[in-house]
This record gives sequence, C-alpha cells and structure tokens, in this order.
Amino acid sequence: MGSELERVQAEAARLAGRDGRLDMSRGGGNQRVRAVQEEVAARIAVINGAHVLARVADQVDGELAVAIQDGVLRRTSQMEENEKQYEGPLLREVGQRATQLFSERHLLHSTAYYYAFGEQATRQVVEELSAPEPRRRRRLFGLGEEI
Amino acid sequence: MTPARETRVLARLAAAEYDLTQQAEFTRAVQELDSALTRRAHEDVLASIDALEAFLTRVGPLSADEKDALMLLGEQHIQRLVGFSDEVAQQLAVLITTYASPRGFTYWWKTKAVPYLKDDSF
Repeated sequence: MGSELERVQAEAARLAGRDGRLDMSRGGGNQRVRAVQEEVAARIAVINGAHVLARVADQVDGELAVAIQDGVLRRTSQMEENEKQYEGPLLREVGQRATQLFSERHLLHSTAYYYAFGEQATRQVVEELSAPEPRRRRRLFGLGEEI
Repeated sequence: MTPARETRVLARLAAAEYDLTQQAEFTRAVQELDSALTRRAHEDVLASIDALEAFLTRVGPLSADEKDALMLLGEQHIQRLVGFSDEVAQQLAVLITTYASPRGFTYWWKTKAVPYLKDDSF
C-alpha cells in the first residue's frame, strides 16, 4: 500500500497550487477549451479524492495494525497464563511446545489477515486513482467536431 | 466543474471511504475469531495432556521408550490441530479479500445523503 500512497501524494503535490489546494477555475473560451477544462477539472477532482482516500486508507491501516498487534500479544499472554495452571511434568514439556506453536501460528495468521486487508485496500485506492473516460459529444449529421 | 459532477466525486469518495472502514472492521473481527479458535484449540490440547497425565499417574512410571513414544504422539496431535487451524486461517484470508461491505441505510446516508448535503455548490 505504501507505493500507492506515495504515488497519490506525489501526484497531488505536483498538481497543487500555492495554497495547497487542487483546483482549476472555469474560464471563458470556446467550446473546445471549456470541454478540455472540464475534463482536466474532473481528473483533478479524482486525484483530489484519491489523495483524501489515501489518507483515510493510511489511518485505517495504522489502526488495524495496532489492533492486530494488541490482539496477538493479549492472546499469547493468555495462553501462557493458561499453561501455568497445570503443573505435571509431561504437560510442562508438551504444553510449552503447544503454547509456542499456537502463538507462532496465531501471529502468522494475523499477519496474513493484515496482508489480505492491504491487498483489498490497495485495489480500492488504485480504482479511485483512475480518471473518468473523456466525454464525447457528437452533433447531428457529423457536422460538429468530436471532443 | 459542474455541481452534478462535484456531487458524484464526493459520493464516490464517500463510498470508497465507507468500504475501506468496513473492510478494516471485518478484518479485525476475523482476527478476533482466529484468536478465539486458537485459544480454544490450545485449551483443548492442555486439557487432553492433563487428562493423559492423570491416567498415567494411575498406570505407573513409564520406560524411556514409552515416554519418547508418548512425546511423539503428543507432538503429532499438536501438529494436526495446528494444521487444521492453518487451513481455517487460509479460508478466512480468502474471505477478507472477497468481502463486500453491506449496503444498508448507513451506506445510503454516508455515500448519498451526506455528499449531497455537503456539496455547497447547490
């Protein structure tokens, strides 16, 4: 997800004005110029949106990472506490091995879930980065130019 | 940009934000479910060993070979449970990548109503 965020932020910085806002005012001009301006404004709006979305994605991503880390630590300490309730010699050997294996797997599973989320979120951000198709206007009998 | 297009962009952004947040919530829920499954499997293993230990106390001391065989059996038992837990985790990870957030009233409110109300170009 990091590379996508950088891409959006770089693109936003490139297009931002002095006030840091991405905007393009609609001026006069002929029909073709206005159409081009509209198209550019639409693309800027998409990048603007993607910039906001990337920020949200970054925030959600950070919260999830912390929650997952907390969950893994909490579960591991609970398993260790549980293990201490038993005192038999056999349990000490096999039980410790079980605690170690389950803790490792739980960490791996949580990491896999986190990656799965990242994959899905990246797909979402990439979709939002795509600019809309240019609008084409035709006049009757092909007299007008295609924009 | 025309007001209609402005509203469309806001709505599209709100929908993406909504989906992302829902996705994170779902992932968190899946992780909690995994935690509960892992804990239950671990408790079962400990309880099984405890029961076995109580039984062996009645039977009497084991020879070195018997103890080795028992340890191997215990290891195999744990590995089976861990393997099962891995399979469940794989399916849950697939579920995360194919998850689609629900489209209820909250979705309508956040992605349609709020962008419309926020759009000051009207």
